[in-house]
Amino acid sequence: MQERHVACRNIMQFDREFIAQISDGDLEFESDLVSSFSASSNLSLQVIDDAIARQDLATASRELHTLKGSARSVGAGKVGDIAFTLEQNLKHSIVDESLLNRLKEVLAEVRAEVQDWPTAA
Amino acid sequence: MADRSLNILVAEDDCVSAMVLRRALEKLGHKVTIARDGSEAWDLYFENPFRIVISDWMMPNVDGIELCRRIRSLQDNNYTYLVLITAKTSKEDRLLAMELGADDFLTKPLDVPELTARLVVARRLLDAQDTALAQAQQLSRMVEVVDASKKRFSELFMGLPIPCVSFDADGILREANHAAEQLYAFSPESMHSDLVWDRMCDASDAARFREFALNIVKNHDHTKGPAHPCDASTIEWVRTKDENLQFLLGTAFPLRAGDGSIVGGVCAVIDLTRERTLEKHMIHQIKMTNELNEQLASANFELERLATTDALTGLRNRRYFVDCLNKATCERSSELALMMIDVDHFKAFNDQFGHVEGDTVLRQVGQILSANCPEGSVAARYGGEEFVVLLRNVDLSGAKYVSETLRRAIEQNSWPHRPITISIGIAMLGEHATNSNSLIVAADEALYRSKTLGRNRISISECLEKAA
Repeated sequence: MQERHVACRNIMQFDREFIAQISDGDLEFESDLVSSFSASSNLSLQVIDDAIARQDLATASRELHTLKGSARSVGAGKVGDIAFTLEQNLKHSIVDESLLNRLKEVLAEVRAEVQDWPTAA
Repeated sequence: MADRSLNILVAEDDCVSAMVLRRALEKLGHKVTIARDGSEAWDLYFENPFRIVISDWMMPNVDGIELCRRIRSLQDNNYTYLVLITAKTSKEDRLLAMELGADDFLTKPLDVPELTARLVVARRLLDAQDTALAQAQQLSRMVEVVDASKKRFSELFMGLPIPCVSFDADGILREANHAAEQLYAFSPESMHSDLVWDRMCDASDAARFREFALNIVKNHDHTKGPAHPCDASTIEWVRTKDENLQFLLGTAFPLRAGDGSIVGGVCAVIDLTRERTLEKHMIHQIKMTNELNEQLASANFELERLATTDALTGLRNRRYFVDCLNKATCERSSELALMMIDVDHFKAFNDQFGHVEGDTVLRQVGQILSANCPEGSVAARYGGEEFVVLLRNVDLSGAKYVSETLRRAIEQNSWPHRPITISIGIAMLGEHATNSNSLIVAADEALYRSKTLGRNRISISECLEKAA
């Protein structure tokens, strides 16, 4: 249990301090917020995957832009940075597959982190 | 403002960003409505009066810029404060957004202290706008009140049954009410720019009216308050209308501005034509009546004179004498002597020289008697060649003295044909002659004795002689 907690801490995708500032200590709101992000980011990922598959780079780019804004709003800095880089590449019609995979990994970590999110007592 | 809460519309397609924003705004005490995209925001904007719209820049369909443009195109009375959320930092983009109506910008990720500060700015601007709007409304209400009061005053002025005109400090006509329009046949268009004295009266009175009007405007104490009835002055003048004279009375007083300075005058006009015409008519009537009265008095006086005067000699006639005698004997207030006088041999004179010459003698005898009788006596022609003299306040010797004077005056007069003399009989009112009748009888008896004793002499009545 102790070990897992440490592991979680190591791979933390959310800036807890940032979220605490937004929620002002409201744990229920924090939980809702990160759950929403988890859900919406996965939907975004699907949209991006589908769009790239059919070479619809404009839709993929717009969705990455939204994901970037969303991630930065909840203090998920790594997601935001990867989405930003992917968006910039897409503007030059470059699809960075390895970076896209990295985004998927990070989002998986986000989901895991959200599942273990501490709820209000 | 008691309620510091603002109604805020947030247009944000990213539900996570929307959540964060809602949280922050609600913490600041505001009411938040979330729209999922620009077109939903546009629909919601119509349903609710949002004071602030915070919109994401990049949204599908209607984006933040388009939403700004649409809201600004409404030209609503209540200003809506528009904030765009963007990661865009390009100066050109921001300038374009501001040109299209954006008031402010927020960057993602949201910084709560910055949001709070920016909302303070928004609130300040909206408050200023509210104040300006309230002032504009109050001003508009005041204008309405002033307009209503102006209209009421105008109706009062226009409807007054007394002709009224107003003029400015230079004497130029400004307004005329209906009654004045009627009196002067003014048409409202023709009136302006005319001088009040040129329109109100005939040219002959214009200079006088000008002085009057300019006195109203200039000669009043500027430090005084509103027009007081004591400031009013009056003038009367005449005006020709349709070849008829109008007599007019004007009462004028100064018009003051708010600071008390005189800006013109008001003149109310009363038409005195009817009164003045009646007055003139009456004066004429009174003059006529007075003239007639004088004529009548003079006629009466003449009639009276004729009724009591002997036409031939100009002495009093018998009727007048008898009246006098009756009064005097009734009063018995003084000693009375009656002299009965007869011209001697007058019948023979008449026969010899004719009646015309005889009349001349009688006229002259009358003049001599009248000239020699003392004051207070009455000399009259009794009839034919007989005369009488009634003396007051005399005793017998006084009567004798007067009689002798008369007799001598006749005798010594130079007569044209032959000497003329008179015989006189005297009687005194007293024991033996107690009334006018007995006095006349007594004097007549004395006269008769003067005749029988040789004429040109004086006799006293028998009773007096016996008493003496």
